[in-house]
Amino acid sequence: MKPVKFLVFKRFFAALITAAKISCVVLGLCAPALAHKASDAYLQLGADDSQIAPSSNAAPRIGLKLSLALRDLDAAIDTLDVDNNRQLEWGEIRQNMPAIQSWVAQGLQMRCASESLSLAWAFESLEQRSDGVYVRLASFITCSQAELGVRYQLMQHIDATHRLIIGGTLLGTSVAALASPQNKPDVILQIPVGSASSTSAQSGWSAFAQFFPEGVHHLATGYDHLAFLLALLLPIMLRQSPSLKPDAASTAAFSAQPGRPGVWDLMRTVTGFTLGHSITLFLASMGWIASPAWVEPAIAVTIGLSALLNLYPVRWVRSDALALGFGLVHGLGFSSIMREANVSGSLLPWALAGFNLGVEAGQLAGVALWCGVHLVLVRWQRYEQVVVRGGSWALLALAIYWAVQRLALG
Amino acid sequence: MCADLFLHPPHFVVNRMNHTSLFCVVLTAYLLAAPAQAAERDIKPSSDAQVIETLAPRMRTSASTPEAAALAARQAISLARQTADVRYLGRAQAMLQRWWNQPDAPVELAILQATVQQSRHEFAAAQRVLELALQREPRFAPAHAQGWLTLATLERVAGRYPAALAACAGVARAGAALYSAACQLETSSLQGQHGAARQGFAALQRQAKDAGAQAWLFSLAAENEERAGQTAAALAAYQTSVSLAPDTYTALAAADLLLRSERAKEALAMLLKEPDSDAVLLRRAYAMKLQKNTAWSAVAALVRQRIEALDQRGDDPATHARERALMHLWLDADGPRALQSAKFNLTLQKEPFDWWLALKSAQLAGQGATIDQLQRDIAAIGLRDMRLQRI
Repeated sequence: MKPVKFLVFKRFFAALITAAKISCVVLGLCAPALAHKASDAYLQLGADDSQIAPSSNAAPRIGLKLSLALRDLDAAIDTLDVDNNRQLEWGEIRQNMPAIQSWVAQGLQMRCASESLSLAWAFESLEQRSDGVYVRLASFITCSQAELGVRYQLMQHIDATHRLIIGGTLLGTSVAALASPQNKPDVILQIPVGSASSTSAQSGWSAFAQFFPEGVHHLATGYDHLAFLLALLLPIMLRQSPSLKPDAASTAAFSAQPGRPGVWDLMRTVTGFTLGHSITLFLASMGWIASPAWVEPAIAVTIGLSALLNLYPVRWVRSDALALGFGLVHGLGFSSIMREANVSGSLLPWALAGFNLGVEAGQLAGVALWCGVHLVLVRWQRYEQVVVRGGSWALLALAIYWAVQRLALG
Repeated sequence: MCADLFLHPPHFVVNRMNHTSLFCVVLTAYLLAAPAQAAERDIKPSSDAQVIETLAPRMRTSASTPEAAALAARQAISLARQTADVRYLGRAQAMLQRWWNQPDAPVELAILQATVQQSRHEFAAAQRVLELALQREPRFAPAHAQGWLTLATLERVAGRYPAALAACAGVARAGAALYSAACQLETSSLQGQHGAARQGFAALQRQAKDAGAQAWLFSLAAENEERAGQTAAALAAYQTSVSLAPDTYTALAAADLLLRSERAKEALAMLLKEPDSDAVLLRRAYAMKLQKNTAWSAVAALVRQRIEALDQRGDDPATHARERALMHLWLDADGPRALQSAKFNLTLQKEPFDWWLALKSAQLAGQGATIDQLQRDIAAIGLRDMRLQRI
């Protein structure tokens, strides 16, 4: 067996390297990024996820994230590149943070109706965007009026085509606006106050309605949960594949018994996953268990193990039990969203129910999509070889990539 | 439908992992990982000494005198050209802001304004600014040479060859004889005098002293050969030009020549070192598509994202008309939409490439009558180009 295993890994790494090469060429990741557009800054509005304790003020808190390109900051703040070697080091950025914060303060003002808001910007992270590295600052405001005014004058005399792109959500309603320091520095954003999402006046049902789409969105954009689901579903056959010899079914790995419909296995597996993640989501959201730091890498590991079990099945491992067990880990992952949303008290069960049912709805849509694709592709002679095995290898590669990435960045 | 149960049998054999499934692995992994890479990604520096960003040479960000403004704007424009980073055109504009669109701006600053606008494909605005500036006295000062040269370029882009020749004469009167001669040869080459242009460019190449000017003359000679239908001679001249002084514009023109004859591998090699501008990415995606390299669709997606990002900024769609038309022609293979965009593009610029784009789109859309009409329009402006006549 050993030489075979070696070969497996040789080929596997060859596949990884090829993937890496393609991504480098395609996304230009190997070369320094170059911009295709003029200078932009980004202001993202959304739920406040800062660690600062909520005040007694009932007005809703709006989180702000401001991303500024280092290339722009260099033009605005003379001292940024302290040693003037045109290589910007992390130490130089850190050292200049007060200068950056005060520069932002003089060029970006906000007001709630007519009242000026004081903004305290805290450094959050560096981020890589398509045209270079940005500094992301975070702040929050409270405003219970209908109008939020933004005056943006950063880069005003430095870059004539600089823009602030405003996006995100204001109490659940999407916003999109542009500010131009030269031509249109003032932007008025409408806050949907008095609507269902204003925390103080929220009913249980509206909390449910608000969190249901959050759940759908989280599942649909949380590729790791979909990848795990796919790893569980891949080996299930709803219809006989022409690539399968009739007697082969008896050697099936997972505990399915001949004669039982595949749809039954499908339902048990999906239910197992639902049950698993619902339990931990509930426990973590209620604050009864903590979500440990290893959850994100562990989620990647669950994907990798499931894919590996598709390739090297172990007789006593049942896919529904696996789904239930690993579902517990994924539920902890989901709970981060509920924690960030900062819902408490009598609204929490409603929000939790909405979020969880949203996740289930998203999951069922994913399962339905897989069913459709599966029923079409399964007629293909090489379905089993290409889709099931190729797919499992791909998921394994992806899981390793995610695990390494999450461990390195965690 | 969901009748029989079958779990797949575990009969995986390593040796059976052939090219198809290997390819499938790579593709699936790539597609799944791509959304994570496309979005912004947090960076966690490990030490103070870690280099986070490479900065461009330091530039002035304020200018009180016209001389200082001209110097800073010129620096910013050349930086924009070197890096393909349009951000520096915005900086150049900010340096010129006090004189921007002012009727009494010093001529040199007005010429720089027109250069910024031309680089952003705001051709009509650039031309208005130049014409006003060059009317002022003294009309043919040495400082005006660049202005006349830019004006000649704009006239050629608009397909007004007699007006372009007049502007070329302005270059000579401003004292830049070599540039004026090249300007006239290029214009008369567009009008079909390919043989005379060939001899003229050869003579100028012997006169030119620095590598930059020689490279430029070789690229003009290459374009002349292309119009004359001499593909091999054109490619050789492009290659000489690039070896004398690398230049994105020349590399793109050479890549286009190679792509026209479906020499995708050479086209990719030609663009290997070019910055990832939209124009470069479009050609890379098309070359990969010709090679049946499925990763082409990821590059195509990036091009679309960038065009969406431009829309998000609220930029004038006209500034990217050519790229939009190319996207529909090459990447979407959507004849009717390509033709629509290409026709709109022709209202902004009428270089041979823009006519070619429209003709090819009409061909893809199967509109013979439109091809005939386009050929009549080409004849009407006096453009003679063998590449276009063959379509």
